[in-house]
Amino acid sequence: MNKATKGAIAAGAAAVLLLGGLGSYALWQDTETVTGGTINSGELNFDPVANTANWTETSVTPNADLGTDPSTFLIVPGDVLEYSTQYTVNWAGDNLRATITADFTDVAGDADLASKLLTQVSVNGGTPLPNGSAVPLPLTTSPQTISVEVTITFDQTTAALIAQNESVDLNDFTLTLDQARP
Amino acid sequence: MSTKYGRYWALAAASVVVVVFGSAQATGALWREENVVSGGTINSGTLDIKVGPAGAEVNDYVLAALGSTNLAPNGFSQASLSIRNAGNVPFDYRLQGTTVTGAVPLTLTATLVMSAAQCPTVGAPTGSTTVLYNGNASGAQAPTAPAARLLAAGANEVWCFRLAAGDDPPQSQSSTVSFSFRADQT
Repeated sequence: MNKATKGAIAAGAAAVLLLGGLGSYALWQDTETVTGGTINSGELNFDPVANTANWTETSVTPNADLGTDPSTFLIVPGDVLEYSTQYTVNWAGDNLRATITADFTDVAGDADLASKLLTQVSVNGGTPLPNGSAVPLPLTTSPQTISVEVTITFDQTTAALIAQNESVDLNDFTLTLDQARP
Repeated sequence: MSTKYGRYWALAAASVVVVVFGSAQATGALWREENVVSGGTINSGTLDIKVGPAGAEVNDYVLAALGSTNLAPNGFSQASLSIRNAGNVPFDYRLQGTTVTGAVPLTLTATLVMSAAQCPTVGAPTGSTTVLYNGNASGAQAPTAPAARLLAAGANEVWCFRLAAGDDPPQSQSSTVSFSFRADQT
């Protein structure tokens, strides 16, 4: 008898033994239902507060209110503009932490001017951080109104006639609210 | 370890790497919402200084009216030049410098006048005048740095230039004067 035949016989014997064992489960049995409770997830989202967006020129004393449209203001090197707006953050979760990030990488317009505009972002008047940085957002009560300030500085070292008579479109920059794990 | 079992160890190690990699990816997948902000448009200004006849200033202008021939001792020529802020932001400007080429020593007098009509070809400037410079035509600067004259966007000022030959100018010689104006953002 070769090895293959022996193996087949051994496998058949094992199957018979297993089938015989199946019958051993059909004994007394009882089932109980456990009331374990309900698990609910939290939330994290934000929406702009209408009519709160505003531009201010902060490089002059006193600051000059530019309203909602800064296009009529002609920026020159050394000027600092601040865009402020408010958002309502809805959040729930015992261990929820969040950050806000502004992203100007998709801003359209003339390259010279765009390259000379330094952008920083702060939340609720906190420390400004460079574009793309995750700014910690302290969560207190929900819904929570927060202010987001974007500061745009025209590089004062811009020399000669660089970036004159140019335009940068800020109608497509993004604010991202991210959950953070400590 | 034999070659036969080396394969299995390699497969096991690869599985661990996949698990670790998958775990690292999962830590970035937290809640996120993104809002697009319509911030508006920012436009930059323009700083541009031009010189020439009032109302027709250009970048480089030949002030032919200031030229003169056959100047006698103490003779002079006089002509006006308008300096205009052709940009849309205010600037500070000055006559930054002058250069003289040629053998005739010249004295420059620069006077601020209200209009070109107050800078006749002969005689002193008329009307309300302010002398900005009086001295050697070479290396002149007015006002002396860091002082400068403020000029609003679109506005202009008219300067009356006088070049005088002096008491004893060389005969049959000529000189050429170049004026350079500089404007700086305020």
